Amino acid sequence: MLSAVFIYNQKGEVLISRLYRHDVKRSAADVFRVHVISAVGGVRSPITTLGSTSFFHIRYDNLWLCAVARHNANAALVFEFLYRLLGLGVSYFGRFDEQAVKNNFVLVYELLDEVLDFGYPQNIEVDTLKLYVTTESVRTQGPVEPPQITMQATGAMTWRRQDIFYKKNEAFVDVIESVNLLVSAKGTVLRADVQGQIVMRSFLSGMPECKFGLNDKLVLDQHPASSSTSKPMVAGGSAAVDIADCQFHQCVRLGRFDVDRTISFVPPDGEFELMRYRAADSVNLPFKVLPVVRERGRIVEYEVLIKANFNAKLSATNMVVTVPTPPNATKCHIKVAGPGKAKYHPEQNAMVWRISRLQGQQETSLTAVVDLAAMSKPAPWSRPPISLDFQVLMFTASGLLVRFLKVFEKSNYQSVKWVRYMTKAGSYQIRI
Amino acid sequence: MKYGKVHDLQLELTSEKKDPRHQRKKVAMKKVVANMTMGNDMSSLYREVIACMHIPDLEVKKMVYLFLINYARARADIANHAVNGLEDDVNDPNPLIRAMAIRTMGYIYVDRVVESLIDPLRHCLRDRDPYVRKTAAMAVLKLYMFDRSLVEEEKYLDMLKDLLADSNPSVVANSVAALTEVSERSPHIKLKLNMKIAGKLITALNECNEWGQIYILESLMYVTPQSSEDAETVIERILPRLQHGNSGVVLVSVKVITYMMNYVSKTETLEPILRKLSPPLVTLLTSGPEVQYITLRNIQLLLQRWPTILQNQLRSFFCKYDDPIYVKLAKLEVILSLTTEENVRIVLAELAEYATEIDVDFVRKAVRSIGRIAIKIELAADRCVRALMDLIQTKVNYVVQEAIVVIRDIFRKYPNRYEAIIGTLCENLDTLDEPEARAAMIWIIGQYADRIDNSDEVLSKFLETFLEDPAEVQLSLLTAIVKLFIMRPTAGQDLVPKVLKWATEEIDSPDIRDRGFIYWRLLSTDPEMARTVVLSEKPEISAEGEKLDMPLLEELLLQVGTLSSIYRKPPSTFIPFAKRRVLGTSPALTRLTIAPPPVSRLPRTNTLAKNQAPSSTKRVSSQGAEAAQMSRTSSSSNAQKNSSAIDVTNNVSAGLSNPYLNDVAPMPSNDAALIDLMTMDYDEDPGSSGMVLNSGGMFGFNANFGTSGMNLASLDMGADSSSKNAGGSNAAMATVASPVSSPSAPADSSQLLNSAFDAAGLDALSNLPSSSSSAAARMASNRSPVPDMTRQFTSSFDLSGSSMPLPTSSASALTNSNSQLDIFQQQLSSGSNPSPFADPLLLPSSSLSSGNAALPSSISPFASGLNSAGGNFTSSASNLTSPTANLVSPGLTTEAPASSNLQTLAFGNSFTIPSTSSGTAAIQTEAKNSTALQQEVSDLATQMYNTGLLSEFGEQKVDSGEYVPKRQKLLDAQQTQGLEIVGAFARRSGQLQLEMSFTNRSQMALSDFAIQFNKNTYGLAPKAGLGLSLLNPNSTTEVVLPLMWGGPSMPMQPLTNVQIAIKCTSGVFYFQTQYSLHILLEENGASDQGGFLRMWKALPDAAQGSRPISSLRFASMDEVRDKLNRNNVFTVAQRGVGETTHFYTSSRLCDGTMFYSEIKVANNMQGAMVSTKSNNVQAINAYQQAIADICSAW
Repeated sequence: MLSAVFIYNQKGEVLISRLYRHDVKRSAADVFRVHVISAVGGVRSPITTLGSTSFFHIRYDNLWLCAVARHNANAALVFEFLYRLLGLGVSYFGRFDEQAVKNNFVLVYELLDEVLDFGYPQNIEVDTLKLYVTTESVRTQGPVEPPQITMQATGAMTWRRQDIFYKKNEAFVDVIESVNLLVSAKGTVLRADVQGQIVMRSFLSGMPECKFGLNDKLVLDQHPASSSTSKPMVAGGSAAVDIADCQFHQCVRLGRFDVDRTISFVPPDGEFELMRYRAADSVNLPFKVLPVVRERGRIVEYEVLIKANFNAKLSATNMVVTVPTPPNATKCHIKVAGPGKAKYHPEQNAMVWRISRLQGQQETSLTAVVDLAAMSKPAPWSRPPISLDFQVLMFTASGLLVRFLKVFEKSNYQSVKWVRYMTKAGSYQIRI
Repeated sequence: MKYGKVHDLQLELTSEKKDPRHQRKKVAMKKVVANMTMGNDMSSLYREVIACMHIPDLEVKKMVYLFLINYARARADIANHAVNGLEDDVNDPNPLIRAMAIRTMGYIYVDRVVESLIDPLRHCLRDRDPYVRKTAAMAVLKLYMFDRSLVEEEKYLDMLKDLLADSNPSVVANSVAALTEVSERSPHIKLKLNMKIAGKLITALNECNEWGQIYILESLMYVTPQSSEDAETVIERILPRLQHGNSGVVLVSVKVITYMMNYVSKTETLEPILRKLSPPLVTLLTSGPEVQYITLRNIQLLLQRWPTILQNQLRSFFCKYDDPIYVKLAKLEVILSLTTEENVRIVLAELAEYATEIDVDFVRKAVRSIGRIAIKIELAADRCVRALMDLIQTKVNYVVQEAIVVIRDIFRKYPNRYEAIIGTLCENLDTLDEPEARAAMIWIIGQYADRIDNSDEVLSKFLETFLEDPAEVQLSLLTAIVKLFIMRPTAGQDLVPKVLKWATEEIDSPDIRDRGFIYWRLLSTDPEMARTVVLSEKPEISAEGEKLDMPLLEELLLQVGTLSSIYRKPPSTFIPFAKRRVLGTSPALTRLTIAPPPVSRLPRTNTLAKNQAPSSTKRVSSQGAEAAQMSRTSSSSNAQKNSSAIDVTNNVSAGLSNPYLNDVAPMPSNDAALIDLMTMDYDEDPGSSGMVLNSGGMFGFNANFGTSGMNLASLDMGADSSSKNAGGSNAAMATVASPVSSPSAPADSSQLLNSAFDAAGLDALSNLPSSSSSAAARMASNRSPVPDMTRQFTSSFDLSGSSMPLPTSSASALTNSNSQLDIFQQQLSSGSNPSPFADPLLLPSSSLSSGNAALPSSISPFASGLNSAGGNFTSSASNLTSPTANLVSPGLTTEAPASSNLQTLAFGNSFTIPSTSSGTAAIQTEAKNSTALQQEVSDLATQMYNTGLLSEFGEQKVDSGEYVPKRQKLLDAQQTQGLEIVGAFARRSGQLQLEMSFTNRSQMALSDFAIQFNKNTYGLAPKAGLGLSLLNPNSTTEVVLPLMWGGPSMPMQPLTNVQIAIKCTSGVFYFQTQYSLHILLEENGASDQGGFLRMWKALPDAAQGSRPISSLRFASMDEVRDKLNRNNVFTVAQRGVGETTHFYTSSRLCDGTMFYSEIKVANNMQGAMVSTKSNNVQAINAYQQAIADICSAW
C-alpha cells in the first residue's frame, strides 16, 4: 500500500509530507517534483513509475496531491483515496487550496494519520472523523465518549451518528443530470448520453430507514401495475427510463438492489451523493445547434443557430456558448439575433456567447465574420468543437423521475420530502 | 538564527507559565511540526517534546507522535527516551489513545520500541474495543516488515487469522489486508483461503466500509475454487459490488469475477456474467480522468480475454476534445480493438477527426490506427487508404509522414492494389525529414520502381543526401536503387554503381557495407538470379502482432486494476519482491472462453469490387495443406524432393499475373473469420508495446492458425506465404511482421520481412531488437519465396545444419557474421525450438552461403572486398587463390568480435574451404547453368533426406500416391495444459479421415476425450467418436478419426476452414485449421473429352481462375498424370505444346460441383499453370490450391 503522501503547491514546494513506510525517504518528494511537476512537456500520465517507485498524482486548485507506492499498487484504490482526501479537505476547510493547507497543516497531518494506517486507507467519512479530529473551526456539539467514537469509526455504519435529532424532519432530493453530446460536423449524433447524480440532503432524526423509487424500466416492468404514477412536468416520452448502469453510495444495500432493484439505505446526515447513473437510450437533447462555419481565405464566416428543444414553460439559464476561432483571428464582427450577447475573447481563441435565459422552443442565432492575420507559415486550423454550458430546471434529459421516497423510523415521525430536477451540460460539443 | 528559533521553541515548550488548557504548548508544538514539514531539523528538541506526551490533550499528543514518527525511527536515542511514555499510553483507558500508541510504535523500527510493543500488541489484538483491534492488526504487519521471525515466533499471524472471524467488519478487513500483504512478501507463507472462510468474508463485505471491501475482495484471489459451483457462488455474491460508487471496489470485483470465471464449467453461466460486466466498466469512464485511464487500460486486457464484453459500446470510447492526453491515447487503443467490419465506417470518420487535433502524439497514433485497421480488416482497406490520402492532402508535416509510414505497411499487406496513390505520395517528397518516413517512401518507390516514371530521378534525389542519412534510410535506399536497376536497367545504371560504391567504401556501418557487397556480387554474377532474389514475392504482414500472448495475458488479468495491468508487465519486472500469480490448479479449472456470436460470413458483394474474379480471393486458403505437404519423407524421385516448398509462394502470384484484378477481395479476410472461434484473439496496442513483453510462443492456447508451430520445425517447406502462419507460429515474429505494433523496430525489420530474400536484408537483423531478430531470421528462412534459390538454399542448409564440414557454412559466417552472431546467440538462449534440425536458425546465413557455393565465381569480388575491409573492389581474382581462412579471420575479428564460439565455429569450418575453393575454378564455368546447380543441390538434398534427419516429421509413408498433407500442430501443449495434437486431413481409399497424434505433455493423465466440429462449408463432421479414452502423461497416441461430409453446414472463409473443439479433462480447446480440398473430390469425377469440351465452352470466362504452380516434384509427365489421377483429378486429355505439356482434367466435388482445368506443365518441371473453370467460382481457388499442393508434395 501507500508508502507516502505528499502535498505540493503549484511551484512544487512540499506543503505536507507524510511517510508511512520505511521504503521511501523524504527525498522522494524531490524526485516527484523534478520528474513530474517541473517536467518539460507537461504531464503525460497520472502515474509515473521510476524504478520500482510509483507516484500517483491528482491536481486540484493550486495543489498537487501525490501518493507514493513501492509495490504493485491497486491504482484505482489509490486514486479513489486521493479523490476522497480532497473531499475531506473541502469539507473540513471549505476550500482546499494552498492557503487552507498552510493554515491547517497540523490538522492535515492528524487527518493523514487517521485515514491511512501503514498506507492502508481506513475510515474517511467526514462525519465520523469530525467526532475526534477537530480544530477550532470544527467543533462538535458536545463531548462524545471515546467508545462511542470507536464504535462509530469501525462499525457497519461509519457514515452516521446515532444521536441525530431534528425538530422538523426533512429530506431534499436533487436529480442532477449532465448531458454529454458529441455531434459530428455533418450533424450526426456520435454520442449522446446522460450522467445522472442523485444528491440527497437529509435532515432526519434517529436511524431512518429510507426506500427510494425511480421510474426505472426494469422495476416498472416487474410491477406493471405500479407504473401509473402521475408525471410531473418533466420532458420525456416514456414513463420508464432505461438505466444502463448505476452506482451507489456505500450506505445503499447493494445485495438488495441486486435481488429486486430496491434502493434501501440509512442515509448519512446532511448532503451526500446517493447514486450515480448512466442512461444512453432515448436522450432528450435540450438544445439543437446548427453551425455553419466557412473558411474563406483571410476571413471565417460563422452562422450558429440554437434552438431550445424542451417544453415552452421551462427555461434554460446561464447559457454559455463557446464558439472557437482560429488562433490568428484579429477581429470579430458579431451579430446576435435573439437572446444573448457575444464577445470575442482572444485569450480563449473563442467568441463567448452568454444567454442568461432561453425559453423552451425559443431560437437564437449568431452570425459573425472573423478576420484573420496573415501568417508566414499557414497552418490548418484544427477547428475545435463548439461547446455549450447551460442549466435547465425541472427537466431531465433521460426522462428519469423519482417515484417515491419513504422514510421509516422507530419513532414514526412525519417527514417532508422535496424533489428537484436539473439538467446541465456535461460535455456538450458540436464539431464544426 | 536557526539556533535562536530552536531555542525559542525550547523555552516555549518548557515554560512553567500557567497554561490551563495547554494552549501555549499546543502553539509551540505546532511550530515544531511546521518546521519539521519545511525540512528543518527539530530533533534536538526531543526531550522537551517527549515531556509533552503527558499532557492530557489529544491534539498535543498527536503532534508528539508525529514528531516521534519523524525522528525516532532513525534515532534510537530519541526512541528509547519515548518508550516509557508510549508504554503508558498503550494502557490508557481511552481506546483512541491506546490505538494511537500502538499505531505509532509500529512505525518506529527501533529494537527497544519493538521489544516493548510485543506484549501490549498481544493484548491489543484482543482488546475489547474494535478500533484498537483493527489498529493492532495493522501493527502486526508493521512488525512483520521489521522482523519476520519475531512475528512468526510470537504467533501473531495465528492471532490475525483468528481475527478473520471477528464480529467487527473493520477488524476483519484490516486483518485480511495484513495477511494478504504478508503472503505477498513472505518467501514461504502463502495465504490460502477455503470456501468456508471465503463465504464468511463475503458476508462481512456488506458491513465493511469501501476500503475494507477492497481488502476482502482482494483476499478472494487466494481462494482456489474446487468446483464450478464454488466459483459460481463467489461470482454471484460479488456481482452486486459492481454497483459500488468506489472504482477501486468495482475494479477489484471485476478482477475476482474474471478470475473465478476461469473455473466455471458452462458457457451458459458465463454469458450473463459477462453481460453484467460491461455497464460498470463503461460507467467508470464517468469518473475522474485518472480512474478512466486505469479502466481503459484494463478494458484492453479484458477485451482480449473476453471479446464479447462491451459489444456495441464503441461510441462510449470516443474521445472528448478536453480529455487528458493519456485518456485519449488509451481510448484510441480500445476503439481499435472494438473495430469490426460493421462499425469500421464510424471509426474511420472518428479517427479522421482526431487526426486534425493539436497534440502530436495523439494525431500520430490516430493516423497509425487507420493503417492498422486497414491491415486488420481487409474490407475496410479501401476506405482507410482514402482516409489516409485525405490526411496527406492536409499537408501537415507529421501527419503526412505518419501516413506514409502506415501506407508502406498497407502496400505490404495488399501488394499491387494501391499503386494509384503513389503519385500523390510523391508530391510530399520534400517534406519528409523523419527517417522512418523517408525509409518508407523510399521503399515504396523501390518496390514500384517500374511503375513510377521518374523513379530514377526521385531516387537520385534521395541519393544526394545518402551519406548524411541515418542507417535506416541508407539501407532502404540501397535496396530501392538495386530494385530500380533490376526493373529498369537503363534508368538505374548510373545510380547503382554510385550507391554501391558509397555503401561499400564510405559507410562505416557493417550492415550497409555488407549488403552493398552482396548486391554487388549478385548483380555482377547473374542478373537473372539477382532479379529472382531481389524481386521475390513478399510475404504479407498481418495485424496479429498486437496481441499479448496467453500466459502473459492470464497473469495480467490476475492483476486487474493494479500498476501491472496498466503497464502490461508482470509485477516481478518492476517490483523486486513481487510474487508471480498463477491460476491455482483445481479440477474445476476450465479456462472457458466465450466466442462472439458467429456472424455469417458469406462472401459479400463489395460495391467497390471492380472484378470479382475468383482469382481475387487470393488469400492463402489452405495453409494447413501447404504446410503439411512438406514433411512427408518420400521415396519418389530426387527431382521431386528437390523442389522443397516453393509452390506455396505463388499462391499470391495469381495476383501478380493480373494485379489489377485484385483491387478488392470480395471475401472477408481471414482475420475476420478467425474471430468467430478464436476468442483468444488478443489485441495489443502499439503505443505501449515498449512495455509489452512478447515472449514468443503462440498467442492463445487455441490459436493454431493453420500451420502454426510446425512452420518452424519444417524449415524446408519454407515458403508458405501466408503471413497468418507466421503470425501464429511466433508472437515475436508477429511483432516484427507488423511494424506498426513495434515502433521500436526500425523500418529495416519490416523491410527485411518483406523482402525475405532481399538477401542482404539479413544484415539488417543486427539492427533489430534481439528478441525479434531470431524470429525474423526464422521467418526469412522459412518463407523465402524465390523458387530456385530457395530450393538450393534450403537443401544446402540442411547439410550445414547437420554440421557437415561444408565450405558453405564458413562462408556464411563470413558474409553474415554480424547477423549470424545475433541469431546464433538467440538460438542458444531460446533453445526450445522443436525443429528436427541441428541448428535451424543458421538457415538464413547458410542459405546465403549456399549461393556462394553454387556460384563460386561470385565469391571472389566479395571475399576480396572483405579482405580489404574497406572495399578495394578491384583486387579480385588474385585474392581468390589465397586460402579463404585468411579472409575469414580479419572479417570476423573486425566485425564480429563478440562471440567466441561463433568464431571457432567459423574457423573450424573455414579450414575446409581451401579444398573446395580449389575446385571453384572448375565449377565456375558451370556456375551459370542453373540446372546443373539444381542437380548438384538436389543431390545434396537427397543425401540429406536419406540420412533420415527428417524422419521425425515425416510420419506418413508414401504409399498409393494419395496426397496427405504434412501434419501440422493443431493444439500446442503450452496453451492447453499439456495436450498437443498434430494432425492432417486425408482421403485414403475414398475414406475421409482426420489423422492425428495426441501427445500429453502434462503430468496428469488426460481422459474423457471428445471432439466436435463446428459447422463448416461442406458440413465435414466426425463419423464416429474419437476412440481415445485415456492418455497417460508423456505418451503419444495415434488417432484416426473417420469423417463424413454433408452435416450441418455454414459457409466458411476460406472455404476449407474448419473449427474444431476438443474436450478432455483439462478443458475444452478450440482451434481451427484448413484441409486441402482434394479430400472432398470424388472417385467418379472423370469426364469424357466431349463433355469436357462442352463444359469448357459453356462456362463463362468469368468463372475461370488461373494460377501458376512454381515447382513440381515430378520426373515425368506420366508421374504427373498418375499423381493427379490418384487424387481424383482425372486427366481427360493430354498433349504436348512446344516446351509444355497440357493436361485437361476434371474433378467432381462431393457436392456435385465439377471442376474443369487446363494444366500446362513446363517440360523441365520448372513450373505449371492451372486454369480452372467451374460453376462454383468460390471454390476454384481452394481447388487449385489443392492441385498445387498435390503437385508439389513429396
